[in-house]
Amino acid sequence: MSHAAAHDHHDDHDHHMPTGFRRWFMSTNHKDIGTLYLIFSLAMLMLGGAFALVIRAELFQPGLQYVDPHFFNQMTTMHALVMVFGAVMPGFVGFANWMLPLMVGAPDMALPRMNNWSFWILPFAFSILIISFFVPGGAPASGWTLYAPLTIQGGMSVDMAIVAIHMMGISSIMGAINVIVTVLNMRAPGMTLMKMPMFVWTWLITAFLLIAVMPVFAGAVTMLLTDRHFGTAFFNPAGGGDPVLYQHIFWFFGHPEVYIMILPAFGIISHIIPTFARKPLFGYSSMVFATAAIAFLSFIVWAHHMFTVGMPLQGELFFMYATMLISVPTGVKVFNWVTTMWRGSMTFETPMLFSIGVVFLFTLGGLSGLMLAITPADFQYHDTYFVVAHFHYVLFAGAVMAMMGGTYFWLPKWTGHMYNEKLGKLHFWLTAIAFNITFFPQHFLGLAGMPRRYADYNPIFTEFNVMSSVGAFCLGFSQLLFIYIIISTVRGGKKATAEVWDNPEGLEWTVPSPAPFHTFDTPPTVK
Amino acid sequence: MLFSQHSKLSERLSVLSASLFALLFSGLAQADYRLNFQDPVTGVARDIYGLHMLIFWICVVIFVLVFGVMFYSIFKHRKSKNYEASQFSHSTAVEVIWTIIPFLILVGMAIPATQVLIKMEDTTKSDLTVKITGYQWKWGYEYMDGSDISFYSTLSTPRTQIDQFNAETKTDIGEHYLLETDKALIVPSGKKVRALITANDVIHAWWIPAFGVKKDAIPGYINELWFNVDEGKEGIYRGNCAELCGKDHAYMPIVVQVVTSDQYDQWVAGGGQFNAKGFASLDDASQLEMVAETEESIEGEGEQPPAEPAKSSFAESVIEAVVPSAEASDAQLSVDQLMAKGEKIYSVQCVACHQANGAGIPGVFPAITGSAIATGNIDAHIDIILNGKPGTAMAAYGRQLSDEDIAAVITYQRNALGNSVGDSVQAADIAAKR
Repeated sequence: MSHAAAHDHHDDHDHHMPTGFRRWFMSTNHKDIGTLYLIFSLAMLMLGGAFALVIRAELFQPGLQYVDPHFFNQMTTMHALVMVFGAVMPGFVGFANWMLPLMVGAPDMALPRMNNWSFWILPFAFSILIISFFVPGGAPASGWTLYAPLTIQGGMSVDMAIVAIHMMGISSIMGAINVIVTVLNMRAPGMTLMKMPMFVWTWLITAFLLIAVMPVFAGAVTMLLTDRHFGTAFFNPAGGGDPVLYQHIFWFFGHPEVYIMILPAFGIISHIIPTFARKPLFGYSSMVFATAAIAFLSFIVWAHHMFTVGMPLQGELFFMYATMLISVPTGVKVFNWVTTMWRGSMTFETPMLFSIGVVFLFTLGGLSGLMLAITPADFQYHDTYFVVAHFHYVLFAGAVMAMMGGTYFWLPKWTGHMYNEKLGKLHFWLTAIAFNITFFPQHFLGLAGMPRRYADYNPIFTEFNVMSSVGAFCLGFSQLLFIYIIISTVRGGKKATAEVWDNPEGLEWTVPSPAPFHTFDTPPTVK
Repeated sequence: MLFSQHSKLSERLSVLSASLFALLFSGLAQADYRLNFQDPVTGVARDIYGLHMLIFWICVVIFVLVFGVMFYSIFKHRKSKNYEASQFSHSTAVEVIWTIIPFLILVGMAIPATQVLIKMEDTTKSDLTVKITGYQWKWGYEYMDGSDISFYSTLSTPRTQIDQFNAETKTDIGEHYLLETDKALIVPSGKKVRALITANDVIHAWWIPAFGVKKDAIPGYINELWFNVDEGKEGIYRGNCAELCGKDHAYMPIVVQVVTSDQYDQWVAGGGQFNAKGFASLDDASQLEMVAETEESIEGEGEQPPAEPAKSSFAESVIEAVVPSAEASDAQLSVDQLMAKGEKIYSVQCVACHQANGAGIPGVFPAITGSAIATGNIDAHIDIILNGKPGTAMAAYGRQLSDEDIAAVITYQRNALGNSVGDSVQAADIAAKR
């Protein structure tokens, strides 16, 4: 609360709050839209998780037991599309909606009606994507990367996925515009850029990444669409097209995309760790510069996803060096978090457990990422379970566990109730242990030679697949506890104070809990 | 503690988790499993392995240092031990240090990585060139040294093993389940083998872990790779397609048989014949047996493979059916002969898409049963099998099968799988349409 001026004369606007249909479907309130985003994200997390369990059930032993390989490919494709575009991205937009105005002392997002629109596109986009299961040939089965020319072979579900991707892209771009305008124009007096909370900084940078790359992806899938139906041959070699061009365009989007999914997570844990270490974040300005450096580098490393396509040596060397460079700013962030903990006075409530889990497991994924950056070795790791293990360490243990930590951290602010700490800790341990049982063995599978996206495998891989499947089911069902904790906290529980935690920093802790419908009608002053 | 009030629950949970772990690890203790790369048999693969272990240990050291500090702090600097929080929040010197030191470590990694990469990409001065073509879902090999040997290599694990796997049949699946083919790529040891690699339909990737090679097979592109297997490491090496290529991505393995240079010359001189197991058919049978027995299993330190059980007779009969027989072209076969042969070919070449019962997969792969082509004009039927259908997974089988095989499979498709057109074709009819 060091730079906050408390305001308590804003709750008298509560009578403007609409109810029922008008409140939830026509909302322009950043908190309600944030809630909608978060609920949507949680629902998609469960759906994507269900797809993952189909995959793990089939891979429990060699042979084909439950699904045929075509449906298996639909599962891997839809699991990724739903998790990336349905769970992780909207989840962080939900956090942004709820927290950015509270953190910068603004009454709402800058463009509230666009905010409503950018959310309400999503349920329709995902309905189209999921209905594709029921068209002839089933859902897209070419992997979430939608590589041509395999997608040119696909059925009409590919067209539905393209439409859905366009809609999600529009939604993301509008969300990003909203974030940029809010952050750049609506900060409380006195809050200079270099006084902004880290979550605001990471989201500002993420928003620029989104605006830069979502149109690129839209272009790639549009070219795919015209290749499929209008006789063009951008990617079709039969007409002089170039399948590798698709991969270059896709990963020009795809690599910044992975930072879109992780930078806000960095922001969240940069709030949680100082709070529970009772110590300011170490190296704030180096954190900001490191985030900006990661974002810049993310544009010049894309081809490390495709070393095996046969690039010239010079290209491979450039992308190897650039990729290795990313570990420098990422390392700076990890060192800063650890130093923030150093000589603090730590307590280990659930958000802190999740944050420590993120630092530990994300770094493990980061180090396997460094191994993947070494091009000659990447030829061996590429398209094996080693890669699958790597990106689940950074995406699940990085992004999703950071969102879980953020949920516990701000849930009292959102609902006005404290969650059940014992259950929260249980949820953390179940998640962290089951996650490692699921994904750690996949490193060994990949090194020993099991390719990814395989519905079936040689018996030599059985043991680790069994472990991985057992872990996956534990991980999946543990999340029911998460839902239970959220619902019971919304319904009741110990009243939360405005500060919630022990002297946390930030404007969001100066408003009562639950945060009133309208906050900061008159801006606070930051010293 | 978490369960202090629920000691019973806690006890049960710990028993459950202990037994679960015991189960998992006892399984591991008995089984053949592998934690790291397959044993390298080429210079490049050894370099990659060394690089991989170097980076791995650097990562382990970084990990232990960083988290040693973090866990020390977690145990020491906690409120429950009344540790007073200090309020320091920045130090430019420290930030500079932990930017520069990782950078120097990276430079240390980049130097050996660059050296290996330069070596890997040098495809010049090769002794032998093979063209590799990826198809949905098989590999085609063509020797470019004037020997005129070319063939296709298809999964030889029977479909029944794949579809009917369960606890009872578990013992019946072979050690090389999904890693066996009807014909292996035959290459000599001690020679620099260069491969030109492309694809016919979608992107595939040709990967032999023990050689340290993986390269995408891309339609419209010709990529290059090379390997030089050490002399003394002759044997069988197995790999997979590594780029998602549709439904049967998991079912197009790669088998390479490395023979001595002399054996290779002998094999080429003999016209590139294969024995029933799909390995090089050599005059000196005892030599071949020796090769087969010193076969490198993918476990490396694993047991010697058991003697081939009787079940491989299915695969052998399939191979017999698929290997084009030169003398048969002008012979007339009876409808029964055509049907019998056609059924075998169908079960290898067609079944992946059109399914065992001919129903296909609606919306993805058309049915044979009742289809306009398989029940209509026979010329259209011959045409699609000879020339394929561009833009779909339907390959041009005219390049892959003999006239007699095509005649047989067409006859079979028209008179089985729920169809009963009643006509048949002979090899001569196919030859006339080519």
